[in-house]
Amino acid sequence: MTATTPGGVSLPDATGPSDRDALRNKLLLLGVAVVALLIAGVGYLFWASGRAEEDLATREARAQEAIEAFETEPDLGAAVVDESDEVEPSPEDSTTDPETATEPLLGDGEVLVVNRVPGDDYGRLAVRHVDGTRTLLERRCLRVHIAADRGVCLARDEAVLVPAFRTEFFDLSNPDLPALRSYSSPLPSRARMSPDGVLATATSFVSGSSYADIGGEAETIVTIDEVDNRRALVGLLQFEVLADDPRYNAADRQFWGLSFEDNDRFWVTGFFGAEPELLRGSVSRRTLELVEQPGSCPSVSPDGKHVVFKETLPGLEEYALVLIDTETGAQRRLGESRSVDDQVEWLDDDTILYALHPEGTEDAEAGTVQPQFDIWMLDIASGAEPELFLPAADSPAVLQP
Amino acid sequence: MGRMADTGYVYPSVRSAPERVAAPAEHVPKRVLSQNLLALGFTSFFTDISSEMVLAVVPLFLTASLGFSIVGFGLFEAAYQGTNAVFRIWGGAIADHRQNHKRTAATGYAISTATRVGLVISTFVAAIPAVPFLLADRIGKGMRTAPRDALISLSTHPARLGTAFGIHRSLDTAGAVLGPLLAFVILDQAPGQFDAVFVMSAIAGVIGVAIIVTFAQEKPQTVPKPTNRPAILAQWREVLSVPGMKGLALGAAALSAFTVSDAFVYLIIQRTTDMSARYFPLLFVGTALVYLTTAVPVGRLADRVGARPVFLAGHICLVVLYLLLGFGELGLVVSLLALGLLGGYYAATDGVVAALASRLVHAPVRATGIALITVVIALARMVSAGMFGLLWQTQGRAEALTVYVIAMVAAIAVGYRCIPSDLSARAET
Repeated sequence: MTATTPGGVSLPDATGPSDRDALRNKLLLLGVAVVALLIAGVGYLFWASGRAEEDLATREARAQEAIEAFETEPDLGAAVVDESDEVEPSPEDSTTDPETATEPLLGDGEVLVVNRVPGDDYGRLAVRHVDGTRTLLERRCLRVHIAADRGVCLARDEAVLVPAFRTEFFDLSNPDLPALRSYSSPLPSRARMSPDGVLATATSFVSGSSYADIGGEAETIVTIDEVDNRRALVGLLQFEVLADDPRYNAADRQFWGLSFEDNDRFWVTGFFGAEPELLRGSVSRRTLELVEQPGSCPSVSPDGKHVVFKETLPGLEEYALVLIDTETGAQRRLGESRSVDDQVEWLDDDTILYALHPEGTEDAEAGTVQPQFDIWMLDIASGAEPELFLPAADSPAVLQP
Repeated sequence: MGRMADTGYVYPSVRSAPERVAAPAEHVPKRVLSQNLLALGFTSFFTDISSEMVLAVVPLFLTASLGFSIVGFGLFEAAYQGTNAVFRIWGGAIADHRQNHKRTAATGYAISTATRVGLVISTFVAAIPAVPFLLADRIGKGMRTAPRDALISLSTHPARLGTAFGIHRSLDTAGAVLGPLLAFVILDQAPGQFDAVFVMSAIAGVIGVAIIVTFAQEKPQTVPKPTNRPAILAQWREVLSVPGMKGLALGAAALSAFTVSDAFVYLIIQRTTDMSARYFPLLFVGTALVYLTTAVPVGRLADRVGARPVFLAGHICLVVLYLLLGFGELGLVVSLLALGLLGGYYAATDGVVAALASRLVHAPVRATGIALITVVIALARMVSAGMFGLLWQTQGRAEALTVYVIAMVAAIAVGYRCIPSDLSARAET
């Protein structure tokens, strides 16, 4: 064959002149078709990109509107000041540059949140002042929690184009919130510090992304770290559940949503094939005990007297918030009628904070690129009604005294 | 003279022992590139861009790329491979039966491309779910694989099959690397607009189909078709009676039954190192880059020393890989080395086994033969994934890998005994 087409530069199979012409025509046709298709594709991409920008702008405007309405609400300041006895009126306004601040980042009654205003500032940490205004910080987190002078931040890893995440520990005593150390992690979901800031825990999805899919496609891991140590301390799968039934220690058990009582004891969600249930554990002993209470994402109050958790409503992918008295075991549903898929945070011993999608947008928000959340506040006294704590924000983190 | 390629290379007609293939090859062409190889290579390139683009952004894959649950992964792999296997066998059989490899392969590519259009529609019409289209894509993929490989082999001199498949796999893998990259660039430009990804994917798919339809040519056999074409079952009997075929199937099955799937390899690297999860998506890219750069030289090597030793050497790479993963200190260097070994394994097996099967099986039932071998490998890997997941979970990583090291060494011995040598089947260079 090589002998018949010496030095042939055309494609090997086209040997006759007419074949070559035909091939050239076909190649030309293909080239034209490819160029036309690519032009169409790039055009479509521009259109889609425009749609994305438009969508973002609309949602940003809506969030700003909600913030303005909230900040001008007259009784707002009072509602918050109530919770923190003698708050001096903050002299700083929302434009204060955190770098020039010499005092602690969080003053009395101030709460760290994740900003959820769609746009460039989405995901930045922010200080929620007592008057309901916010100061944006440089650090970005998907989920944040703080205690003493430390914080844990579950963040998007910006170094790679594809989705990747990091668990970062930061120094809260420095207003720049510099990282102490960090490591890569799967899709973040929950973060907690122990009250003294020594231990930190993170729940991540290693597969799936929804607690509703636990037992099916979704799988979570819970890690506990000593913030000052170099490596992740322990995964909860290495803990032994103190129960006779072998299913509690089967390989496919799952844990998520840990909340520390102190430097050792904690509450957590476990799933052993049927429905999520609450457990109490000890870090030092590496053990877990059954609480005999279905529920998930427990959160222990600062005084340790109460735990609020999510009760799964039968047949629905919806959750009700339930309060449990840790001494008597008495429990009752809290005055929140909407479905809360969050591990609540305690503003003080009697008040919880949690995030919800803005009203009426629950389904729409779930599928968007920068989903919006509002933080709500609820007194645990019976008969109390939820109040808006901060619009366009998520993951409240309170520095307990 | 005219269309030399159509008369092609002289294949022994029926039931030839491999030795007979060598006889008519007085001269071996230097050139491996044929119009069909180029057409099929670029079709695969664009089709892989198209399909990997979609897979990269489908939530299922998105979460999967962050790490499967151990047992759950095995199950997913099983379902995925199962669909693929059924349609691969069917595609191979139909293509041989009708002697229309190009048409069958092109149909498979067209089905997959049509599913992208379906995906675009499903993003706008809520009532139309995306999942059936994703499954239909697997059907198209299964259907086209064996006829395409058969067509490559029928368009290439037997002595250059390793190189030819190496070239094809390089182009194919290059597309698989570019696809996800393009997808994430698109989503970066138009956040949340998945339809833009699907439209671009459809465009890449259409280009792929256009190339195979326009430029690939059917390769009728040199021997006249038997007047009564064998029924599909008879084709199967014929393939199984090819000397060395059962040995190749057995050897490939034994080796593949202890092949840890790459997702497990990535998962082990991710879970045992602090730093690597950040590079998790890059693990795939790293492996693919090694594969696509080594596929051609390794294919040439297979043409020179025979496909069997190269195929076995690929599995020796796996033994070293298992030892590294089980007992090595997994830092950046060892992780990179692991990716190199995994990429080398692919380069030394995927295209090489297609070349080996092509040299063994005579032209009229070639697609059936290739389908048989690749399906045997796929099924054995499926079993392997399940076994490894179970072992990992119940016994631990090092223990599971120890079992696999021992089993793989044994399988290599089995492979050495069972897999026929194709040294005599390739012509002297």
